Amino acid sequence: MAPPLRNIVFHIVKGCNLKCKVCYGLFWSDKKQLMNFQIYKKSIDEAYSLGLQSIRLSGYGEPSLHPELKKMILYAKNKKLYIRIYTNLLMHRDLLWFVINNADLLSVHVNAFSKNLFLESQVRADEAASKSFELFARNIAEIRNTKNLDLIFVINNRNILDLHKVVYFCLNTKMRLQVNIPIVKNNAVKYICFSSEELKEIKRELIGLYIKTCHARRYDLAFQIKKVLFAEKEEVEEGKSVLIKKEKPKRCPTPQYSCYIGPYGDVYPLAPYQEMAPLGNISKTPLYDMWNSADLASIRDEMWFNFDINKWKICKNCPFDRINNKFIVQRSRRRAKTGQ
Amino acid sequence: MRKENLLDKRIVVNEQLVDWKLIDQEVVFLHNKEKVFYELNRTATYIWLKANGKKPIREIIKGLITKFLINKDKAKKDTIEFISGAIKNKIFLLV
Repeated sequence: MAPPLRNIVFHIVKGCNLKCKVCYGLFWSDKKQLMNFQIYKKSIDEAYSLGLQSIRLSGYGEPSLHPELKKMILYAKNKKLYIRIYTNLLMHRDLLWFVINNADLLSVHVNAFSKNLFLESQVRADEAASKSFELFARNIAEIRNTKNLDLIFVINNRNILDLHKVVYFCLNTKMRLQVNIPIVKNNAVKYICFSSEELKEIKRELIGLYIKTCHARRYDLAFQIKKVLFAEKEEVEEGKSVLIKKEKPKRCPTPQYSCYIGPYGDVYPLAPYQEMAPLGNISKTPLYDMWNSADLASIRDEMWFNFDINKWKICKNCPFDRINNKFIVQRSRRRAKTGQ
Repeated sequence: MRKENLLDKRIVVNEQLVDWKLIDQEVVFLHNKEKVFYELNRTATYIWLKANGKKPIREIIKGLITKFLINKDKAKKDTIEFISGAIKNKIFLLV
């Protein structure tokens, strides 16, 4: 018997209002795809009987571009689900406050904290990009003291210069921070290379930041800085290296409690699903059948008991650091044993 | 190595093994292999900053006594203990 489906990640939009050079998906290059509200509603209704507790509204892109976002949030809220939304904060003030007041957690993806670096990170540093930065700066200043916020900062060789600004911002606002080490060998690899001198200088700055956060008793921030300090480096070209995660995943609990639903209702067991066949489509097959299918059961077993990173090529590009989430790992391990 | 021999040697910080920064007049260094941070006190920071291969250890001790007004024997004993420990752990290199 399959374990309960606790979480669904809805990719309600494929498309973005930013054009970041470092984006691993280059979502802006595709035509925008939007999830139909009926697909969303059907997914939640069916998953509710499977034990759904939380949803994540993200996108392969920016979820606030969806014209029915408010409706989607309210529907999930009425079902008493935990709602987490990923955004780049480029939205109007009324939508922003609606999201803040109704979602349980808003995770803000930050590319850069200074205008120069923000513009530099964009494919076209034109007036539109400049306005985007102003909107971002205004919004983040406005919501800085709200409680249900965290910042996600994916470092690259340029925005790492902004890391101290982000850390100071979090120090002053009690905001949480998650620093992600970039994905190796993706399409943005040339933007995440460091020379050894650059790395040395960066490490010096980070040591200073680490001590300051420790003195301020913000050990959560100190832990994030430590992640960057202790990342390993891998040489990608002569004299240039990229930072990589130290721990390689040994198992993945994701398919045991979660699934991903794309804008057209295709259901996937794993996040980076570009190269993966869907389990089915929500408008054609009941979610119960997909969640209890033999295909998914074998994926669950393989990813938990015989996980081979070389076989699961898509996992090499996984942007999530699941293995460090010990709570999920322990919980899923217990489920894998007991089937409950 | 005998203490007297060590006093004439010059030392440098092994920059390959550690990354360090001066914060509030005290050195904090990160040992890259052990993945541990160390915070040095004022006297150890003085020795660390002088470990640039220019002066022998004997001169560093002299400077330490003058700057911190401490007992000569204690300064010598503590400095040698600190430096030999750091050399043993390859944090300082003899030049």
